[in-house]
Amino acid sequence: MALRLLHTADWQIGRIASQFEPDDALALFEARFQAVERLAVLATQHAVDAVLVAGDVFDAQTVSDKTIRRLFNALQGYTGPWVLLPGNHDAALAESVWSRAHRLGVVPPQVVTCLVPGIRIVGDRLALLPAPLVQRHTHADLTEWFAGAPTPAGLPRIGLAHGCVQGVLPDQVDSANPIAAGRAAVAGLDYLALGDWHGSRRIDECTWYAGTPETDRFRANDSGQALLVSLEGPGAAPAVQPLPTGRYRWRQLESRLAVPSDVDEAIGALDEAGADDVLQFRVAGSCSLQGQRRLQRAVDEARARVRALVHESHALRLEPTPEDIQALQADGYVGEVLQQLKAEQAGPDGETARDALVILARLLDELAAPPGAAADRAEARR
Amino acid sequence: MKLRRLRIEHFKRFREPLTLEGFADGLNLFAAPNESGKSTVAEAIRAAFFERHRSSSVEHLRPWDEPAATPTVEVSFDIGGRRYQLSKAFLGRKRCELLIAGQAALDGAAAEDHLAGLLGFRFPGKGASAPEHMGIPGLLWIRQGSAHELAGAVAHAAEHLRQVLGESLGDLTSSTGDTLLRAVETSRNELLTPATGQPKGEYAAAIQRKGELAGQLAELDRDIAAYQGSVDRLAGLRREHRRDEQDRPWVAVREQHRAALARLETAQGLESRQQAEQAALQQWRTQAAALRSELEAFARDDAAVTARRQALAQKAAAESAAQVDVQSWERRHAEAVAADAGSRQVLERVRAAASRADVTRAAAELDATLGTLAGTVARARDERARGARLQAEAEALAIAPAELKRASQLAETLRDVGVKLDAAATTLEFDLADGPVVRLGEETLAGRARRTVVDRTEIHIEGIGRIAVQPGGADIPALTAQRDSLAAELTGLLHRLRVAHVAEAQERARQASQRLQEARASRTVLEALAPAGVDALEAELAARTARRGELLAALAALPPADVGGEALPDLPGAQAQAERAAKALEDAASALGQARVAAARAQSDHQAARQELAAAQATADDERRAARMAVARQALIDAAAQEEAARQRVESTAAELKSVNLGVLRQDVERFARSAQQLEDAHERRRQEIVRLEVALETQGALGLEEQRGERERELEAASRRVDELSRRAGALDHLLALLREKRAALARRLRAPLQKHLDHYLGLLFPGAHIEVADDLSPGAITRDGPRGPESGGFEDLSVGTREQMGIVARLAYADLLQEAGRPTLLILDDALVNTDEDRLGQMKRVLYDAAQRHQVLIFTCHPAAWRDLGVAARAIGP
Repeated sequence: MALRLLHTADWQIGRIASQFEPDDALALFEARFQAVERLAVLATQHAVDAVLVAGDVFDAQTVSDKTIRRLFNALQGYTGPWVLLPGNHDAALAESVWSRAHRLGVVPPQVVTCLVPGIRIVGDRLALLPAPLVQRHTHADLTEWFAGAPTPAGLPRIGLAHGCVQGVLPDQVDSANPIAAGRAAVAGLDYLALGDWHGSRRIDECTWYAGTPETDRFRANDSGQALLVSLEGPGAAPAVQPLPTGRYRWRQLESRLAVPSDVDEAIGALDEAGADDVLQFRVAGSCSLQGQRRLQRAVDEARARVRALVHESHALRLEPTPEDIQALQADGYVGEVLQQLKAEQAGPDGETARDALVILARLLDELAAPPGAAADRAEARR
Repeated sequence: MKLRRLRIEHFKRFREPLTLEGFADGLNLFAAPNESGKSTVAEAIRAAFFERHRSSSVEHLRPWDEPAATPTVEVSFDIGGRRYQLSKAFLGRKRCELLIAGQAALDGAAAEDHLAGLLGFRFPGKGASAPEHMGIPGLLWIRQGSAHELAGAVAHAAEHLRQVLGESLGDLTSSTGDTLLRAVETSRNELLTPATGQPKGEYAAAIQRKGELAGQLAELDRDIAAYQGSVDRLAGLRREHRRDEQDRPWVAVREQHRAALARLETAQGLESRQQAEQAALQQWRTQAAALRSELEAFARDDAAVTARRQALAQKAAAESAAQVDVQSWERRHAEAVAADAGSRQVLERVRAAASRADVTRAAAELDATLGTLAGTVARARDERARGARLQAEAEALAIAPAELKRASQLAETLRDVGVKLDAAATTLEFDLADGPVVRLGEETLAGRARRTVVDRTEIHIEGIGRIAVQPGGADIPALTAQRDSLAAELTGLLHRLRVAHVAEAQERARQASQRLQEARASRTVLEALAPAGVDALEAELAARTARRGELLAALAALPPADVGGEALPDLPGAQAQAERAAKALEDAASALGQARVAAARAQSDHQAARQELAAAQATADDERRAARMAVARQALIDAAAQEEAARQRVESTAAELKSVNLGVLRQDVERFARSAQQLEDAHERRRQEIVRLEVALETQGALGLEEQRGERERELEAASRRVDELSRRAGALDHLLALLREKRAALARRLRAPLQKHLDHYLGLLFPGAHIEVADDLSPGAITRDGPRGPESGGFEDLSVGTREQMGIVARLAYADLLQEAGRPTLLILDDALVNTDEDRLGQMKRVLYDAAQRHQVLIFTCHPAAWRDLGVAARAIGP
């Protein structure tokens, strides 16, 4: 009997990205619900037998009631079983987001919340072994009991867990929620659906991380996907196919400016960014005043175009060229000030000097231009 | 600027027109005495330029005696090679006209404004022109006595000076610099306070918002932590509750409680048993004791009989002894009676003898005294009679001392009067021969005679006639009268006193007093004899005599003298003896009494003892008694045995009880009861706590705290970014402003350099090696020059007036040089300047002025032409 599952995890519903402006943050908050809706659509499209969500459905225990309701509303698109596993963000404590949801009465019948470890038969099609997190801090391997838990014959053994596979993932010395490598084999699982790592990642033949369906950080890690898992029969290796579900692309753009053409390159990259990009633009090095002006303009335009833009330029130095100075008509003592600021950029208060230089250049621009245009530009810059 | 021609009319003292021409390009020296109008010339030049022709505040320009005059000034001058001609008329017929070579003429306000722009001054809004309007000419045209006041003039000309300097040094200044500076300053002051550079406005608001958000975030974190704590607590409580639901620990404790209760009851049973046994034991003890005492009573009865018998014997013996005692005392008593009577007799006799002796003695004494007393009485009588007699004689002789005195007085006075009369009287001395009979009054005189006459007396000379002598002397009649009266009185008095003359009276008085004295002496003697009076004395005598009589009678009544031969003791001895005997009798009597009483008592005792013995014997002989005794003996044995048994039982129960600690058992019961209750209560409480926590968490969960926190964190980051942005902007603006100001200041210093240079040039002529600083407002600042002790520096105001005068002119020359380099008109007018300058310095100033005149036209007005002799130019006069 072929079993088709949609494996996803780390929805982090209710997360607020703190580095963005309110409207951008709101859009990204909304995007997470929309990802779930897309999952529902995909699940229906591919006629899966169940959707497995391997932990961190909610970003926190005390999300608002509205958020809880919205989440469960978003599941409507697929009427089959949704299996939700408590992760470390939404552990099944004495009082948790799960007990709140149940109290609110918003959990539809097709949703299975695994609040205690114990075998569940889901839809008569599979035997589920869930390892929910039930404590605020877990340091033990919650999947240990898998090996000694018998399931009815003929049903595929599917494990569902949330944690860190030991010895495989980087930078986890004393990890919380450890999972032994090779658990699937030891416990005789047909498939082990994992969550906690936000990128889609294969651990071994039967063990995969699904990753978050909507990217939520700048580190490139293959997120924004869900896994379509097909099991032909017991003992057969599962076929796993990633399905894109994410809407926004989170990208990091780093520019090091040295010659004028570098500026053009950076501007070009900015211009390419589209409405579904969440962009982090870091620029360092040095450029002329003219270049800085052009670059700033490109950034401002991009900011209005992309979903969200984070611009960091404190490592950028300004080197006014003679043409710059000419154009500014900075003569007399103002010219001297300009030269001094240019020199100060190399010193300890280089950033202040650079900022002062930018302001000076802008003011001189305004003074040189006819009064009407200056007022307009002053407005635009505010 | 070079002045060429000047014409003044109807101007102050110049009613007639005054024309000055032929001005030199350089120095022009005008020497004129005081009150000649040299200051008026300077004033005319000033008025021509500074006052509007339409001004109504220029009344003072009119000559004082021409109220309708029109003060008029005409000035011709060259500037930059162009000829200007200014005509201005005030007050009367107002007029202003400016002819400019090669240009259209100007008149009225236009002409005035043109000149103001050209020379660098301005006009007041209304009223007369004041120093602040006079600009550059105000600086260069020095008024009389104001050369040393520099700062004000420079200040008023500063704006013009700066403009000039700015224009002339065009390529060093920044065309947009000041505008930019203002823009930067404005922007900076939007974010930072001007004075202290503290955040303000939007920047301060952003900081505050960040702080608020941080606070809110912290609060949310606290709330979330509290929520999580509660969740963990709930988990813990639920675990405990489940465990207790299973274990039900209170059940076991209740069991323990029941067991302890049973043990306690058993122990308590033991206790009551012991109490019963104690009571039984006590009963047996009491019974045994009673029996014992009964047997003892029997024994006592037997003993009593024996005792009684003994007592009887004793009492009998006592009675007989008492009888013997009585008899002996009776005997002694009789003896004492006899002795007592005998001693009393003796005493009687002794008393009688003694009294007889007394009476006899008393009678004898009385006789003696009686004799003395009679003698005294007789003497006293005599003395009394004598005294009376003397008194009577004294009285008979007595003459009232007052009358005696009066008589003496009269006699003496009479004598005096007689003497006086004699003196006053006419003395007639007769030495008569035999012959006619001479009669003085009634008296016939013969032979030698001396007579005094006090009144008219006639001397009859027989046969011859009569001589009447009327004594003169006023007093004579008075004296005569007095003498007559006195004599009459004296005579009467003596008659009354029954004496012939005064001497006799005196003699009588003396005798009387003598008698009195004797009478007094007699009285004294009498008093000594009979202090209480003679009658009293006589009475006493009579009494004593009567007493004597009594004594004799008594003596006769006494019994005759004792003729007994016994030697009688004396009275005290007899008395003592009698007393002793009486006492002995008393003692014997009482002793006897007592002995009798004792005997009686002994007898009654004896009687009683006999009766008792009889009773005791009766009791002892009772036959039932023996039986009772036997019974009692047996009962005692039984009781003793029972007592022993009971005691053993008590002991064993006590031992049992000791092994059971009742107190501890009680405590156990209590403890178990309490513990069970507490466990049940705790369980219930925990259940309630769980419910309470669940409700609280439900409410709190609904708040969506973590979602709020996420949002707050986002806001905080945004606020932080904004603060950083504004902080960077504020810092940059601040730095930019500082730099702009710094550079500008450096530039200004460089601009002042030319002025510096010119000032130092002139200063060098006055004080070699001196240096002056130019302040920011272009006025002279601190001056440094070589003093006697090395370089010294001080402010402009610290110099003496003379030096300041010189410095004032020097500075103005420097400004003039600067202005000229900028192509501006420079005309210098010195109106009686340098009045406080000494000869030495004046010489130096002349050097300076000569040098300056190479470049500028200088008009010098002075009233000391001699002082300016060596200026290098001839002095001119003013006026016609």
